[in-house]
Amino acid sequence: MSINIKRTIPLVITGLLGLLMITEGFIISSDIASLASITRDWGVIIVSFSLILGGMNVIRNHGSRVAKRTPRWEYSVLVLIAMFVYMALGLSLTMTSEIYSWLYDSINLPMGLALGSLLAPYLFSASVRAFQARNLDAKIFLACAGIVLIGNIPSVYTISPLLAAIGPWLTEVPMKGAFTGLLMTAAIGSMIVAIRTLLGRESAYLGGE
Amino acid sequence: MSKGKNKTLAEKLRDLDPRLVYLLLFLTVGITSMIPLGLPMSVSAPTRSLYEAIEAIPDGSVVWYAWDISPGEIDQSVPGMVAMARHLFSKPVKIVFISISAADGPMIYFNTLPELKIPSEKEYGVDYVYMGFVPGGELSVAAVASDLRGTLKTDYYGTPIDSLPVLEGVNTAEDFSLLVGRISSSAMIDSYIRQVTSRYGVNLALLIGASGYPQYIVYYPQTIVGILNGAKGGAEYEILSGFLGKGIAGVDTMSMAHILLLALIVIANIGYFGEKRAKAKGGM
Repeated sequence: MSINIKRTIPLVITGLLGLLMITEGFIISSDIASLASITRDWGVIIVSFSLILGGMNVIRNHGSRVAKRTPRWEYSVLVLIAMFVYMALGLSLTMTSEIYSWLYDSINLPMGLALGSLLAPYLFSASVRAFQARNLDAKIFLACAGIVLIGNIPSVYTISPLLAAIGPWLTEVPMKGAFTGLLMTAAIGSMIVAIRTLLGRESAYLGGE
Repeated sequence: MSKGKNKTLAEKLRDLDPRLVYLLLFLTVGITSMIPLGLPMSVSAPTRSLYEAIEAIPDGSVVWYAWDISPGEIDQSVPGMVAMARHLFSKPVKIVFISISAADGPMIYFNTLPELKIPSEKEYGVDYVYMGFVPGGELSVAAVASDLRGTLKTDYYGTPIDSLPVLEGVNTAEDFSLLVGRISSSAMIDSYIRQVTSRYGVNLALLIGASGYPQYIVYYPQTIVGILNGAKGGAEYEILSGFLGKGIAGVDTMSMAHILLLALIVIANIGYFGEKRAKAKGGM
């Protein structure tokens, strides 16, 4: 029987470490707790290294686009310039320096806010098109959406306390029940995937074939 | 059915031009931002519960403040986060700010510092501390919750954790009386529930984005003892705490934008039913 070393060793490591973490939750032992703590610290360090890997990947991808002059390669140049400028400033002057803060506050923040604010017009336009009473389901959907929207108006209480109460009731009673059911289903599904992963039956995270 | 320029009024109402929608939204937001209407607002029960949870924190306790926010969420979240932080600073408690699920956390923390208006009697390192960004998602939450001193050796500025009086006696999540703040992604809220609340019994009091509110109201009030619903919740908290800021300034805009949306939905449905009636009469 041949063993695929490339897949078997990671699966064994996953299984053993997973077992360690589960054991920590059920058996009170300072040795197990200490081992689990060390494992978690290793994990944090490895994730930190993965950020470096991510950065290298960005350089590789965008560098390749620039070298091959793929369509819109100029934007890749901007990405690389921004990346190296922030890296150089952060490493030499630290992130608390005035110039780094100024760059971030002047460029990243406004751009992030602008992107976030784009959501509002799209949602408006999509809502106007979506909330049309075409059939019975759509009518019920429209009624519920309308009630919740009215309930979410901050000043609706002054118009009608009843209108202000119905929307939150819809959210906190029937919707809560529906979401509880969804969460229970998702939790059971997650447990099954976790057990399969520990047993080595789930290996999608390893990548490859 | 008519096409193009020969659209009937009903069709035009049903298929409102998105550009018109954007223009009306822009005008509504712009005008109400410049001319405040002073519309009153009420405070919801989950917001009131969060306020009471913070009020009930025993003196001298240590609070974990999750500062996990991305640039796109600033407008929706910072007013509430500032109001909660100012409320905490007004009490004799210690605050530990940590960013776990958002790499932009540190920069937004420093950008927001002036708004916190930290009282002069509160000393950094003694009454509050910022631990910086810890990458790793749920793994980092678990690591910090189970062994804070082992995971976070220094604060953001490199000061060793052992020389920070604010963290004296704090080793695990159990040593915190409450976890408050903003957690930027829904998946991470689940992580905090699993790794902090379930294992160590520390309750959460969170500001949640409006889109995630219906999902996490499920946990209220047992696990998440108080919830601020996005920008509206932030404004409510400003009213309750008395620390007024940008949140309350946006109430008029929120109200008028909601009313505009309702009006446009009604108009679109008038157009839909008008077109349907015309078709039924055989007019198309």
